[in-house]
Amino acid sequence: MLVFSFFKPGIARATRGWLASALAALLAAPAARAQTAPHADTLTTRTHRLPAAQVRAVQPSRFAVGSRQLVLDSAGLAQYRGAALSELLEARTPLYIKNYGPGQLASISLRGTSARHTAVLWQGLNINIPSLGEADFAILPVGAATSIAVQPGPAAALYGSGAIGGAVLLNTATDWRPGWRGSVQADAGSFGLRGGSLAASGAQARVAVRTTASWRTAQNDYPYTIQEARGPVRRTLTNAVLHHQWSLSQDVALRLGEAGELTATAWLTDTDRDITPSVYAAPTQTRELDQSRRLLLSYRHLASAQRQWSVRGAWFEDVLDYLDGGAASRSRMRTTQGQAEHTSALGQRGSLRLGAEVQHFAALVDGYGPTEITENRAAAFALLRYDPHPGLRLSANLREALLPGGAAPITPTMGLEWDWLGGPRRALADSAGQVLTLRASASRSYRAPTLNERYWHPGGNPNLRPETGLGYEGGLQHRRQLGAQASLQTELTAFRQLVNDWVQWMPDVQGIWTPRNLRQVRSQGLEATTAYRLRAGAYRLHARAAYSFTRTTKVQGSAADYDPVGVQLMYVPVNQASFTADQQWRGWLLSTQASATGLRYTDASGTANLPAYAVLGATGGYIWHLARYDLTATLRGTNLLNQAYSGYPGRPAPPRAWLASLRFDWR
Amino acid sequence: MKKLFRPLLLGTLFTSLLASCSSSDSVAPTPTGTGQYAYVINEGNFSNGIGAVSRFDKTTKGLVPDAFASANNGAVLGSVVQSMTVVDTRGYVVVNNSNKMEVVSLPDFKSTATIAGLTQPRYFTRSVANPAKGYVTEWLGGPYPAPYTAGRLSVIDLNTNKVTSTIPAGINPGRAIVLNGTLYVPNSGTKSLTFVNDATGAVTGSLALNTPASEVVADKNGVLWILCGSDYVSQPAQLVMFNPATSTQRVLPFATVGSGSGLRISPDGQQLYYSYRGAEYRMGIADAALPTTPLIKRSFYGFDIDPATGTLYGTDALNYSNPGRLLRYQPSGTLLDSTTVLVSPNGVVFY
Repeated sequence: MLVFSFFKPGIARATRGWLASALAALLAAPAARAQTAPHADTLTTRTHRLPAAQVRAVQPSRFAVGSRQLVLDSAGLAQYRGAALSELLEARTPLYIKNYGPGQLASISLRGTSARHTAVLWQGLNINIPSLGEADFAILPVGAATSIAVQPGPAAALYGSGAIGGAVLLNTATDWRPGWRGSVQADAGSFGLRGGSLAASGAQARVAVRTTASWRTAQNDYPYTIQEARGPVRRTLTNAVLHHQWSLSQDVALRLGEAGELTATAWLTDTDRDITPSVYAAPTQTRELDQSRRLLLSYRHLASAQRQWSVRGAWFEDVLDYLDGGAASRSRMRTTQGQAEHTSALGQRGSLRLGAEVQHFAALVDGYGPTEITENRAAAFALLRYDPHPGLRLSANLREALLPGGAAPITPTMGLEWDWLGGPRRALADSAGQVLTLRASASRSYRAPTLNERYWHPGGNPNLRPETGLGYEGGLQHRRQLGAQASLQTELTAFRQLVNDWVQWMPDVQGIWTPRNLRQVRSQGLEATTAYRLRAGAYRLHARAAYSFTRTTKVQGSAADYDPVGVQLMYVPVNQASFTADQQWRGWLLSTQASATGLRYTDASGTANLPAYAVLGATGGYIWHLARYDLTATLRGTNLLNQAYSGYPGRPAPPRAWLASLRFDWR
Repeated sequence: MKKLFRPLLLGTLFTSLLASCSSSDSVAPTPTGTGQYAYVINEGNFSNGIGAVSRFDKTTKGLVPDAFASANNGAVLGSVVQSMTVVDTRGYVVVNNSNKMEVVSLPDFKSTATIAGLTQPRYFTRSVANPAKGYVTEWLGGPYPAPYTAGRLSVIDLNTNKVTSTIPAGINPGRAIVLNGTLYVPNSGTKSLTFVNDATGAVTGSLALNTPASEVVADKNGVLWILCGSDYVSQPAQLVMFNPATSTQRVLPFATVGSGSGLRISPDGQQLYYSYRGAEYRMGIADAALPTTPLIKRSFYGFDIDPATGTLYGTDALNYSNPGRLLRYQPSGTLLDSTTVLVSPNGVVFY
């Protein structure tokens, strides 16, 4: 069993009290279960890989009882280290990413909601661009994070504004293993794709450092076929160059005394790309420069065996410069924020976190006018986890946010998990055992109006109310050990959520487009996943299949809102399925991915649509294990069946393409 | 309309849609073609701008939603369909964001030629002095965030479908009309009307105006009516009457701040129609003041009058992301019927 590392072992030894041990065991239980359970990334397990850290943070996901998390495994992260987050999620998860083409805007749609309804957190801090209130997943390189997880479903109490459809969690954990390790990778692929990445980390007794860097460029000059009046015509895509995309991150962690840890983290990203017009439109010289600088200083302190606290300060700068023919529309947004939290044990079976955060936004955006606008937001939260016994886990969380327009509605979350059949640990130790877990959660959520929604000139609406959601979900998770070598995990989830005050931009009586709280939207559906794991001699198989059914419709609207009720929202597929299989045998690797995406409407009335499509991809490779080094060569093929499909009309996806990578790891 | 394709910069959309709100206008229409069809210009969806022309049969009320795709093997007409002008048995369809005109045969809409290499084309007008010649107004500079610069007219040889020369205009020229040997071009960016000799193509003068000159029509007496809109709703619009024969003008200011759009004239050249603050108005050319009571209490994105019957055709773009409506009214303003067309319908052309 793992040592629970919320508390420093030294203190645990010193106290040696039953209380500390019991608390440690209690708080460690879910993590321990996750570690011994089959390591499927489609399941609810809040996986904590707990290295021998001295002052270990209790992750907020510990309080997310009853919710699913899709944890991207290390195999996926390693393969996609030089890629953008959009590519990783498209290939390795059953999530739907709306995509304008390679390198172009890629936004997530979790459970049928819009991109602005997903909170993207880096180290627990929201990194959605403040003007837009959403993240472009094409400009978030994968390599800077050591763990990536997606939690579908409302979770504003845990993750704050925007966590209506769900949350994407990017984290960097300090690696305190002594010594140096790292890797270098070079990539080359079709249509002018070139890239490279590097990651290196090292630790001594009191200092740990980690550096990552990645760089990428692509011409994206691929062929596509367009239907013209005189018949089909083959053309080559233009104005789609990814001029450069780089990412640089630096983490330094210091142990201060026996109970403190100070961490400084910097993450810089820079993307310069063409903005590709529709293939039906005339060529343009439009280009966009996106730069983000994120600095974080955090101190965590272990006050006693039962208490830890932490304070964090962060400064983000997001630059979004849109350039056309020498003219520019510039945006520069700075977010300064602070967070403090205190986590304590409540008896033997519970833990409570209390915290607060403040954010200050300063935005100089051409669309708002010549002067900088500022805005402050604050929130307080209480997170409670209570496990009456190891097979029954409960959580109750609460957040109250203060926004410029007044207080947002209070957003509570309740969650439950119950091991209905089979014990949490015993059954898994038994090679024939199985566990059936029931889970349920209910959550309110909110999204603060974005800076564009409030300050755009003309049209910004300072009176906009926050959108609010009320969602429920329930699910069954079944885990079964199939002999000594194989296991099967299956999970079924049903969800339903109502979002009120859904914001829509509409022209007013003067013809000025303005955002208004116009409608109520309901999203409901089913998610089914199954994962099979096999170890037989030198052979390893990890296969996952997923299907989701998502019905998202407007259910009520104001008279001024012309979109009909009862019609599936634009660009939300009802049906989505995916299959991935990772196989290893001796040094050989083979990963295959297949996904199918159903029809998507391209207008709000459901009269025009993009047809369903299915794509197939595969990565094959070989690892040479040398004394202190590994050398890995891989070849990835995407869209192997050369399907013609698109995420938006006039935006053909790339045809079959190849990517060759060579990676050198040392340790 | 300008580029619609910057999803991250919502502002682009608002600016361009605002600009497009002051859409088209025309000289007093005369019946052409079979008199059986009304072609509805659909600019295209808010998010992707892929437009189409719908063919409405006035007798059967049947609709071919995308006449170009139906007649041409499913081909897409293009991005942001701005306008269409009938020349004999041909339709000249201006596809703004594709920088081209499609020439189609009428009424079947089969493609006969593509005039490419234009720049943000807006409206096509046939020459009277030389019927084998036409003018297409083009915007230059822009789109957001780049500033617009002085636009132009490209002169098209209708036999070869090639651009033969260009004529300078003001910033953001709209639909030109030909009257008594002169081409009048309203410029919304320079708040002026440019005069061009139809026979020689020479610019002969201009008329300065107080607010953006979005549209111009000529009445039965050869007097020009210019609807001067509002610059981002910063001042009241104006209706300007200008007599080219005497160079005299009269200004009729609107009572409240806001843009007017969709200036049209009845087939007999005696009634003006325009849209203002969410309603459609009608006034006689001899009226002393602007009307205060609307003819139809509805906001139209496009409005045209059937020269064969006098029936009024209004198009409502709703919220620009749904298929819009074609609404037909008796000349009195009584609603006849309505039909769902495609996204962002901005006007109707009769054949």
